[in-house]
Amino acid sequence: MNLKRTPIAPIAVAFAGGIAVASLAALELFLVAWLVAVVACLASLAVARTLAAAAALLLGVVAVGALRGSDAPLPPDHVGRLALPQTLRVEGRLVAEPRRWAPDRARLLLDAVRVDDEPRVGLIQVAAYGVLPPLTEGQRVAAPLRLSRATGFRNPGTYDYAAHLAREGIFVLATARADSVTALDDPGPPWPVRVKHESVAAIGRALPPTSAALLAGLLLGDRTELPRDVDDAFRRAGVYHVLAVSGFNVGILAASVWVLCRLLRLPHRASAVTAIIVVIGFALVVGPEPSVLRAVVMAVLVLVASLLDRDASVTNSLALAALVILAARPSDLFDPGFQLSFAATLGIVIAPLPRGMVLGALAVSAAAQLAVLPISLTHFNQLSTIGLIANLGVVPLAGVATVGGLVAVGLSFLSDTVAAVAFDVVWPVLLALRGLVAVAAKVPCAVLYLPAPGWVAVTCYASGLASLLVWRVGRDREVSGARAWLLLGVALLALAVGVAVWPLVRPADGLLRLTILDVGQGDAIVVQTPDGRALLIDAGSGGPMRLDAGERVVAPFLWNRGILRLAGLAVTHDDSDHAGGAGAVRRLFAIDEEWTAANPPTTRRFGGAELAALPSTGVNGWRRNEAALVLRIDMGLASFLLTSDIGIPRERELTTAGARLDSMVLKVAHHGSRSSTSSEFLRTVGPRLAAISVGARNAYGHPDAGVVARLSEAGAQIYRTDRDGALIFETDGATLTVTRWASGRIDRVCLDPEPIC
Amino acid sequence: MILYTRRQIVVLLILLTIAGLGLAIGHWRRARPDVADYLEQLDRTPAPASSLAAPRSEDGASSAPSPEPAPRRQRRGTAPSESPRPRSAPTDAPSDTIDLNRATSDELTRLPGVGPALARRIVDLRAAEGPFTQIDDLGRVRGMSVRKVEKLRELVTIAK
Repeated sequence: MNLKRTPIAPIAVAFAGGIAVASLAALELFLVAWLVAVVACLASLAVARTLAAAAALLLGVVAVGALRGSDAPLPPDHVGRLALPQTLRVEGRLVAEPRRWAPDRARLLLDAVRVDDEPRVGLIQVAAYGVLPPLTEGQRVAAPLRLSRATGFRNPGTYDYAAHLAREGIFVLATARADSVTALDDPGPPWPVRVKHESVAAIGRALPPTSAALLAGLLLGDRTELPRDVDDAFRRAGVYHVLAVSGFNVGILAASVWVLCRLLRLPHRASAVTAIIVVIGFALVVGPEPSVLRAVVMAVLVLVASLLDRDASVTNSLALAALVILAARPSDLFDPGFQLSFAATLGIVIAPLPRGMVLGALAVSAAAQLAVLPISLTHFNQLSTIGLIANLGVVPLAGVATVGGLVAVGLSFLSDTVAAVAFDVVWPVLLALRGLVAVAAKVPCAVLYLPAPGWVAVTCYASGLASLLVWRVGRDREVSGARAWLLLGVALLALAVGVAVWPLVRPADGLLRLTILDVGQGDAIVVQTPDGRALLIDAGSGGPMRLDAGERVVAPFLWNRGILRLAGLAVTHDDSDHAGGAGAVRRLFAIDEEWTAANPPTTRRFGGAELAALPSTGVNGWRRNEAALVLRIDMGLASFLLTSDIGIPRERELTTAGARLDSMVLKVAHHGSRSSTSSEFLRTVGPRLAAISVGARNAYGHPDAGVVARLSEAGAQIYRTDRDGALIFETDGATLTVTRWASGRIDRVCLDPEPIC
Repeated sequence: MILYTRRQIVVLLILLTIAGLGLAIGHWRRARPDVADYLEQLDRTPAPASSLAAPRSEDGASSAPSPEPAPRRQRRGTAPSESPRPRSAPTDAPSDTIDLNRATSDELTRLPGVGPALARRIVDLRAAEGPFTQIDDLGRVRGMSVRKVEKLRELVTIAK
């Protein structure tokens, strides 16, 4: 890679670096840095030191990137400044098409204009329940909305939804009844939306549903109708990128238009201009995803270069695309789509590729996989093994399907009968594609789930690959000392692998760690035993049409803790807020033993800790909650009583049966419902700490104020997942620390009556 | 190794200076809306507090503010930090709405987001096409965005 040919690359990298460090220091610091850089650059120019001037300039670019990347305070009339939560009448404009993710659930993105008759600005993401009237982008609507501040579940090592929303500029969420949303005007959808609707409808008319959904994904990136299992298969096979609009689609489109124009004997420049217009129109239709913008900016640059009879440097266009996107939307730097798209393209562009069809294709696939590896591990904990080979078959098939599909959709605007023929030609290709992906996804170990590598590992990995590249280039030019780069590269890669797998091979630290995860309204408790094994007690909510806490919260948490295997999974009872996520956990983890209320674990030791199930006698006549599995875990002086969802009758039964109930920590039953946790029971248990696993703003009014009062009266310190995020209890048997993840506050409790710890 | 030529550096430096300056000013302006607003008002003759009420007192009955805006102003007053012009309009009476069909261009500039040029255009349009019949007519004035009209809706009235 020649720096002279890619003058924008250092600037783009510096700008991105500035955005990355923006949150680390105060704005004023970057302002000073910018001033210093400008002055230093001028001074260096004055004494004709261009290299120093260039360095100062790049420092200035970092500072400007940081200035661009730092958050501005919300304007005074922003909806985020309202006192929330409250229910208000909101008037606003839809800035995106409503997304129906279930027949009676839809998501609207509203740009507020008035709130309770006061002018307001700011985006609100609305979840509408019920059947939504037909609405479209750009329409002005009004509705009474239950507004709340944007929050997600707060757990270590899981996806931070609130941060994601903030990056999108959304600080306020809302719920509404769909039938209360009224349209105030009807300007008709803008033409890009109409084109998209028409195209999807034409595909739907001509093809059976699953193939139609797949083609809509391939052509337009519209995956809303794609069945879950097909979607999953594409993910597992490591070929999901073909379902996102990217350089692949844009390149095919631009090339097809170009070839068509040349066949029609249009002159060279007219063809380029036509291709530019079509590509920009396509971007408007499919929407402003980072991968689309990247591909379109690059395609337009290449086409403009051909207009000007200049050679386009691909690396330089890539850098310019990054600079343009980041200048417009700096927060995209942290978006997985942006990172994947740029990394894959950069990998393909700078990797040395061998000649030959098969070898070249394999090298392209390998380069892209190597480049996106740390990104997909960081965001999704996934390492695709089959993707390297699967792409060799999938990409050509997807290419053929894309070209055929584009032609067919184009024809459908002229005549459905003619288009039907074209669609019928595409159909077998789609079937072959699906078959190939299904086979690839079935291969054992197609996807490995691993802990996210930290920034140290990622940095070592990237510099290792860069060193190997330098070695490769140096070897071809027979530069002396190239071997040193080879050694450095290999050493750095080895270091990266070592750092990345450390959580998996780390020896047990002899502590009992019990984490009550924030899964909203529900329970999910991870127990890491002193001997390095892990147990899971309930897996949060899940099931169709709701967020699967097992997949989204429990699994990433376990992976990032280096846990790939569970010594035990206990599902205390069958309610969906406890058992719902268990399906995903069974699918994604190896599980040694499973326990339920009917099949309780025998008392056993894990290192210094002991797990026991409390007796249950009256299982038959009781409701599920009462029959739930109650567990206790002891280690030294620390003890945990996990009471699932049991109510007062079961509490009474446990007390009279003389079960061992006295505990240091009580997982309060049934999310703090008033039908549990009686004063008598608390007297028997005598907890010093009480943890309530409960969803923020849940519909049941949990936790009950009476229960909270009873707990305080009993002298227990109360921790709540809705306020404190995940609760992490760590003990060596003599002391106990409690970490509230959301605030990072740590409480230390001495368990020994003689305070020597 | 030569990264950039001298000429390239000069061009980039100019761009960098402008970008940094713009971003810095933008951040500062949003962080201190009151100071920014004060600066924005510097060249205006500070209208005496009575000047708004004066034209209205001529026929108080017809141009009395509609009952609606008054409570809104009060609610706004409970959150002083959210008021768009905390400094420049310290004498905000609860009933300070401006009659679009009577106000002079000077009085119009007291509205948030309306400068002398925009005020003149409003007066010009009124002179050319006759009095406003509804507040939405403001949208026909060049430089009036929909959002600005929404902002002004509660601050202006139209005498019948």
